[in-house]
Amino acid sequence: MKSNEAMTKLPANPERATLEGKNKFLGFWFFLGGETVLFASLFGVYLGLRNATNGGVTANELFELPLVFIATMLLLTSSLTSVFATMALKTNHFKRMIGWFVVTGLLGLGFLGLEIYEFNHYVHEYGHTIKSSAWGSAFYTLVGTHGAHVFMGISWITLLIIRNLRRGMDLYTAPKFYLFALYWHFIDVVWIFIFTVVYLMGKVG
Amino acid sequence: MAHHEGHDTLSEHDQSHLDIHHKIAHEKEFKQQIVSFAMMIFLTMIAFVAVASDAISDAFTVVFIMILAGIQLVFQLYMFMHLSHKGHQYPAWGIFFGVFVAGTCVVALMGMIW
Repeated sequence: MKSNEAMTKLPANPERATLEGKNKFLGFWFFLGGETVLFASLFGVYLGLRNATNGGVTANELFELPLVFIATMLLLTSSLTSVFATMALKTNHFKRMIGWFVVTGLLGLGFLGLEIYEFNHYVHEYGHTIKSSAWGSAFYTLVGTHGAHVFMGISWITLLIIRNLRRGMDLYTAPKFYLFALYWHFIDVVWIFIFTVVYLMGKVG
Repeated sequence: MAHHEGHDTLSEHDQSHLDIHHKIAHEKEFKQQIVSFAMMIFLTMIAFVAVASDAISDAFTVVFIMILAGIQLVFQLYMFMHLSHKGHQYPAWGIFFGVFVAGTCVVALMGMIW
């Protein structure tokens, strides 16, 4: 009985307890290193082209800081809720973990909604499109690639929750949820640099 | 049988000991995460205020908000993504090699286009 009970207990780091978990963990960190370079290429292009407005609207005229601030708060809070989910994972509270991941996904959806509203606003009110200037191309490619990552993250966690809801927590499901949390934090890291380099520096001129 | 029993009592004792340690560590981590989050909110607000106010020169503002972003990056990596925990040596190499190539890439692209 005792040993059975001990076996249902998870080890301290269930996401890295099996060889598969270890490999996924390491591989995912390397993938994030590669993603960093992908975004760096887009940031570099953006910084080079941010004044190439082709006579159209400029960053200073276009951006509205309140909207960006709300979007930032949404994403930052979702990063905290996925930390709570990771802590629930490590202490073997499956339902609590799922709850926090649901909150994370909803905050991500809110962020995505704001971004869609923002892009729509820029295109229809200001004529700022991906084709209107080199700056427009750089802007939509950089911010859009980040938005695509948010969309990918929401889809990922939705599928993970649906697929594993009845499985519960074990050494097979723990790495899957842990890696999603890492990915979500990475999305927030990229956003920190987007709101700084694109929006705040755009307002400074 | 005797061996099995001995092993069980030992593991039970160790387990309760471990549980207490885990609980303490867990509560400590929870507090650290809340403090990190508060710090990140605070840094974000400073960055927005620095840009919104005209009191600071533009060149200084750009350097200032980039430094704030750098601090937030460290908070995310070491607190939220647990890079400070044990067994993260290779992940740290992976991500920092990425950051190094990323920095080179940004500088090169800016230089080429300007």
